[in-house]
Amino acid sequence: MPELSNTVRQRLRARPVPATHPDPDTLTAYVEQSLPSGERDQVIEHLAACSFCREVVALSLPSVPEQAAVQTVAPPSRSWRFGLRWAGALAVVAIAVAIGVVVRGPANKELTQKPAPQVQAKIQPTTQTTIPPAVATEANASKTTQQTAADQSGTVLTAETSSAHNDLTRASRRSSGANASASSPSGVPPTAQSLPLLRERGARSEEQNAELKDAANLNSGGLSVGMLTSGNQPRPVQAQPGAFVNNNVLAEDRNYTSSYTLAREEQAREDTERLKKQTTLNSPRQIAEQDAPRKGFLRKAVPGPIATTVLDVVKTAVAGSSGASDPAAGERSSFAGGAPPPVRPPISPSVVSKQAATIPHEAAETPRAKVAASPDQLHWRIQDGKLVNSADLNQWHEAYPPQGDETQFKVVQAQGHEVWAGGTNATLVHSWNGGVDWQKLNLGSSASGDIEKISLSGGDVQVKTSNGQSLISRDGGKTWTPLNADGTSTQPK
Amino acid sequence: MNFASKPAEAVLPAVRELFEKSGAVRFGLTIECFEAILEQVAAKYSPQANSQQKQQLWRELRIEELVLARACSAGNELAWVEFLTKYREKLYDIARGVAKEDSNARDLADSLYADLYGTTEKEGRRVSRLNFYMGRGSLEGWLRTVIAQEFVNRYRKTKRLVSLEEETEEGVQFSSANSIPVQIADHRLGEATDEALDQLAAEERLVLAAYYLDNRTLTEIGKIVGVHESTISRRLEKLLKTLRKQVMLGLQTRGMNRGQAEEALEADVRYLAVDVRRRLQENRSAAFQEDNGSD
Repeated sequence: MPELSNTVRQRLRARPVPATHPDPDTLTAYVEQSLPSGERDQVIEHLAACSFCREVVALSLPSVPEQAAVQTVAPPSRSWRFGLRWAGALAVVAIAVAIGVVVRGPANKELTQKPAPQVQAKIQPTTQTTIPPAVATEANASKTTQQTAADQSGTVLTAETSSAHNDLTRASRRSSGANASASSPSGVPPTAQSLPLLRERGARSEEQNAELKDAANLNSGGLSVGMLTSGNQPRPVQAQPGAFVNNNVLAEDRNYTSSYTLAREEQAREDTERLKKQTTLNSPRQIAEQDAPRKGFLRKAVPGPIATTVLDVVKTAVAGSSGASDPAAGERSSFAGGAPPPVRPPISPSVVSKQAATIPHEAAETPRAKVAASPDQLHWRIQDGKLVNSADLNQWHEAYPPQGDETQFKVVQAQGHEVWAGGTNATLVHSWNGGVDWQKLNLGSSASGDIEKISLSGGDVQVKTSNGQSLISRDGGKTWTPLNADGTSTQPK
Repeated sequence: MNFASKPAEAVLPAVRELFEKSGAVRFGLTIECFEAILEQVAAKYSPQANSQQKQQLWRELRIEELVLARACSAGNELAWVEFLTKYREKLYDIARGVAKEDSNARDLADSLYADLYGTTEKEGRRVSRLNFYMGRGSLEGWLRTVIAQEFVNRYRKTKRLVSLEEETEEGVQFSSANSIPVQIADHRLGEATDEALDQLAAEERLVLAAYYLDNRTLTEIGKIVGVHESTISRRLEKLLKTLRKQVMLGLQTRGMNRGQAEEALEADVRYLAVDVRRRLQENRSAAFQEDNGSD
């Protein structure tokens, strides 16, 4: 930077300092960028002349947390070199598979052709029929669950996709508890492949097993049973060939998903309200039991890291509500000597689970194989009013504010690299590149209250505030139009 | 709290709505007290506002945090439990972030904590500093600003004290770089510079002052102004060019030709260099004299 002229420096310093200073409230609002423009200009005018207030403002800027979260964000578009890096490996694998098929083709042909009709016979009819009420053995429960999972995912299983079917089977068995698989009803001893699984199950507590068994029972009536019934009385549910698993899993809370259409949201809301009427949660234990079907459900329907994420969120919530203390909390020193150790506010399970938005858009719109094959997805959620993301589901990093914003976030929606988050004072921020850059959007002077819901539908973005206002943007957030109660906008498109 | 009571029927619907949202009931705050708090905020920031403008202002307040602060100020135990749960650790973290040193941070935080609780008394009543929180920004941000103010006050006081001690013990010291009297060759240069600075926008002067007077980094200035640091860098370069151009124009309107104006600007920088060189030489010669004296 070029040096400033000495005279300019002196004259700048010699400018008269105002006699009165802005109060801490005004300075705070300035730092948090929540001042009206007129007042903001006044503060800037003052700061330009007052070194004291400049120092205070500089010191009162919140320290930016480490930007690791931003660094872990996958770049919006990978370079062609990335593709080349894996092209060689993929080519080798493809050649090896081709050789294997050619060499062992005749032998495999017999093996693979036999079960194919059975699979087809099992799967195809169920897409058209009603799932029977489950008063079945656990083995039957497992089978029914597999079928339902396949139906609801809209995936047609063929002989070629039998490996995916096996994955589903494994996932559903995992969810149906240790007892179900240890004492196999068909009398077939557990295979060597299932031994690690059994060991893992053996390590679980009896309580967990009971919960998982409950989950298996619930799930045995069909995928939607866990969501639409209370207790162990599943009711027949018409299979929906076009419905995606992820949508059904998370239908209870629209904040989970990124790809709902408004119609689906309405359906989900009705289901949720019905469920709420039937079920009353009073304790963490009951919450865990309520979540148990979802655990089993998730494990079946969404194998891999996504299900684990949601389960982690639920676990955290239950631990928080049951008063589990944070070991790190006691290590921090307190400035008031002799005072009791700091109490961390318990995390409300409903809040945490509602705020999680770990299922990326693609997960809801594409087959499961594609979901599982995208490990570098960023996961987003709201934690204690902060917008956080994680690439590995273990380390969560604050992703906003980059500029000292103190917005308390309420809801986040992610759709690919498009991330929308809303919070207090009608604050809506948008990132178009997975959280690298953020833009604070202006919803108009009429918008007030906290943003409590964000819906993404096609190119439209709709938000709802705590004051009951609904606004929609059809141009990526540039302009916002208030919505009437009947869902129509007050202004023409 | 001493608030004038008002009949409940006279309360505006907007106030009632905010009252319900604020959760003031759990601290035993009545709607009349709540309205009085809101009126106090409006009287401070928009004394001339009409009812609609007031409501707009109130809707922008951190209403829950405002109620918490006022309930603490009134000595509500539940409010204090909530406040300590939420902010005690943060207060210490903020102080450490400001003071950059643990013992000072502890001292700062303890001092503020005492102020928040209200150690001073006015007319026999405890006065809590939380009573001055108006909810325009977050309570955490307000605490940060208050700590920063306290820190800067202390620092300036300490700096003055140290400077006086140094002066009495070691004789007259070199005054700080900030107070170097600049020799301006031509009064017209000063006038033209003032005029050029007046023409700048307040934010541009803020950027200049923060960079050249306070030695802030581009990142820090970016955060202060609310833009990215690269924008600040571009703005600074553009500003210097604009300033030079304006000063040149000012000098020319004051009777200088282009060559003289350029010479005046170059001389301005040269004077500073000469001044620094002269100071260094003085320093060295004084050191030599001390050496010679000791020998």
